[in-house]
Amino acid sequence: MRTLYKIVKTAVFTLLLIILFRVFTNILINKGTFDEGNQYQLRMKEFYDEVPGTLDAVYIGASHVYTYWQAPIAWNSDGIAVFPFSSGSQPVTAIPFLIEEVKKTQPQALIIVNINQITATDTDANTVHWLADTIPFSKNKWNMIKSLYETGDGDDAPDILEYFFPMIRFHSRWNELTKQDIHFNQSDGLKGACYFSDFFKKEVDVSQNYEKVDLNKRVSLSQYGCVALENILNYCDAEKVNILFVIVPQFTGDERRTAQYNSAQDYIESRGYTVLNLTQQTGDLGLDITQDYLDLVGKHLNIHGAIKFTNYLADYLVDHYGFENKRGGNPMYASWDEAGHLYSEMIEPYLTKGELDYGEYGAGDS
Amino acid sequence: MSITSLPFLLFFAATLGIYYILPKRYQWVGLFVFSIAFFHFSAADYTILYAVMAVLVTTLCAGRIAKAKTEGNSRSAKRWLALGLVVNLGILATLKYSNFVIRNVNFAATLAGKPTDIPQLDLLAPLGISFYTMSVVGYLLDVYWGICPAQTNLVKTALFVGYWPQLTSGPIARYNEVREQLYTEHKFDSRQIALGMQRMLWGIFKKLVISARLAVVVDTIYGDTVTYGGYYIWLAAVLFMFQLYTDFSGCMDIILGASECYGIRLPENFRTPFFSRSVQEYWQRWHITLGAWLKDYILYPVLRSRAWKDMTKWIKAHWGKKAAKQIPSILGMLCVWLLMGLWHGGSWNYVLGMGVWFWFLIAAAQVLEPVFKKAIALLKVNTECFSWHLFQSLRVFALAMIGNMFFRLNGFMKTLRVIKAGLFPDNPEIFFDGSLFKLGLDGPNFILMVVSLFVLLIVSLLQEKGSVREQIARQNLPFRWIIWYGLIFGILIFGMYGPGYNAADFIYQGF
Repeated sequence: MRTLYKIVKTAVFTLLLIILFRVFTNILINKGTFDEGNQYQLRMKEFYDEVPGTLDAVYIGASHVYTYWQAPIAWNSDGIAVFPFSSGSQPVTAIPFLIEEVKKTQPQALIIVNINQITATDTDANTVHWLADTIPFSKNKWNMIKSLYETGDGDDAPDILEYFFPMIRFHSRWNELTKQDIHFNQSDGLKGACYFSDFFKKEVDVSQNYEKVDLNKRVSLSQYGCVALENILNYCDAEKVNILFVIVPQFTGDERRTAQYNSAQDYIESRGYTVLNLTQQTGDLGLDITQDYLDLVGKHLNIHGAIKFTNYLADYLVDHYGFENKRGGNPMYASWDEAGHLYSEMIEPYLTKGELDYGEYGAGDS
Repeated sequence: MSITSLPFLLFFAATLGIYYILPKRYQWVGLFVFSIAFFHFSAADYTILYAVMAVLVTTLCAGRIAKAKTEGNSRSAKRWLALGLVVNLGILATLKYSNFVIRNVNFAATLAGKPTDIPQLDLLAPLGISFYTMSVVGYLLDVYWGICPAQTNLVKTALFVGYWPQLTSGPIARYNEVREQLYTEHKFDSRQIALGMQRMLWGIFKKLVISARLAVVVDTIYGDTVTYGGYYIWLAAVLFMFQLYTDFSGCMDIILGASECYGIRLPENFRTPFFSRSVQEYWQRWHITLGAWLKDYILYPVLRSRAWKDMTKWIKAHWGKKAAKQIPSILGMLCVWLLMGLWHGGSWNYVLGMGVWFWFLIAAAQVLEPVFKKAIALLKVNTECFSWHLFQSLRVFALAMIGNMFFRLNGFMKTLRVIKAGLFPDNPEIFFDGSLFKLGLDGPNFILMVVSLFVLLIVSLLQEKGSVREQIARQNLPFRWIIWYGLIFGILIFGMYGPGYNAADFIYQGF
């Protein structure tokens, strides 16, 4: 009896210890810059809150996803549920594992993969944390961390343990915690949409970068990019993934980068997959490169550009993949209606009249 | 393998599990294997040969001493003892003090006008050599004096010499204290393991939360004494006292706690030394096993030696009874303190700062004791009140602090220069204008350091009343668990570890 009591006591103690450890880890990990609303880890986390089997598509990628694709806008305009499973500078080497992660709860969803990050040459420790710290523990996560660790940071690679126990890296944040850190688990309900202040307010003219580059050039990818791309395609072949590759319009003036995108597109298409390459494109998207970007290097759109991009891609998805409009009170999508309503209200003060045209649906009329 | 690292803790957990799974009669063999493994993970493999040599010679000599004693052949016993001491101390001296001798020979030759440049040796000493050599020498002497039996089993002697928890930094165990515990069978005792782990946690807390923070401030100040003069010097000196204490005693807590989990209680090395009211008492509470070792194996044999007795007689005849009582013991203490200094390192700053300085203080206290007593009586000082005890403790702290400055600052002249930079301080504003928060720790971290020192003070006060762990064990379960979780998460959150932080080696690890 006494032994049983001791076993139970030890088990309860250990359980409480694990719970507390998880709570403290969640509080301490770095989630982005709260004061600017740039909580890049939140959208990763929120993906797991989605009702299983309900998403039309999951859009995987780095900041080129979440500063371009605003899911509530697409929901309001076309009634499609496409969630951005993205994190800052998300390593392309992680993509097969992220697809695997998506398949666990949304096996029917189209996988959209942004490959602008294919030009990277290394995996930085922070980007692994932004990604891995929010993914629940599983064999897939274990494999992902191992793979990212092997391809990352060279001699500066931290101890691999810190990816499994992020408290090792972030425990010293105790003196910079904010209220938001403690309430991190509370969803913002915006389906990964962006709302940091620069995204709403900043307008940068990147036209000086335009026409500096030869759009038809090709150049080989880095060894890192080649291996990553090969792994993604091999995985897609093996798993027969329904996938669309996207390259978003960037006006960086970096000819090499554009040439690498072209090469990547050629190779992907040669393997039988579709690539929507929007590099240096303004035409159909209607982008105004004098005011639709938020940074001078032309890598990220502001809200004005994001609306145009979202509308374009949403139309493309509806046209090519036949996504149905799911608006109209379906309880499975109540949170999407709410997100559409909330986001419309949030962005309204920053938009000009008529900028947000939802066609036959009005924002928040669900 | 750092004593606060995850590999160390995993090694401990794995060995503890295996230890209690093993058939009880093989537990000590398990400990021996763990010790070899620990040595392999922590030091250059070839250095184990020195330890192997020490084990072989010690086993042989101890056996022969015991045999000779039984046969009444004291001459043979003495020879075997001499061989054991020469080999063990010879290895220690060669590996740790060759360069000290070479430097001094070069210096003396230069002074004599015949400069030489004998190159220094690049020898690597095995892990814990200063600690296990003391244990082995004590063991041989104990066998010779008939205090303990000789251990003829080579592997058992090896376990005594290289018992892994004490390899890093002691304590200096006596064979008599541990022999029963090391080789006997130990039943799984969850309470004992819990208490041991609690002590380990407290040790890790002291090292990672307190000592590591103190080290940042101390290193910043001592790293640039041109910028940080005046009161900064004394602030660093005070903080270094706490750094050294929390680092060394924290390490001891981890070692003793780990050993306790195996059911083996190693001797205590610290007993709240900052509450000492005399320098002598300070050394009875600080690095206790080293002080006791030097007393038992150096001081008493020296005082009992024929030469000393002859000297005492001579002094008594020429200078009187009082001098005959004091001078031999003061000279005997000088031997002890010179060795104490040398043990800390082959450098004059150790010999003078950790040796001669403390000898001078103790000798002066002994000689001047009647004067102090008269002054106290004349000034009608109440020596039984808190304020007097506090004054005494602060006095000891300040005096020990000077000695430890020599320990911390590499170089005798450098230490004198730093002390000079701290004389006549004229910058009291540093305590009020936020300057303290620019010494490598930001405001919250500095405050945390101060708060954790208060926690240390409270625990130390409780320790004076008895075992804190026993006191906690008497509390109700929720309170006990709060203490456990507080310690665990205190370390995990406030500890200085992980990327961006280079944990300083344990200060006493190089000994």
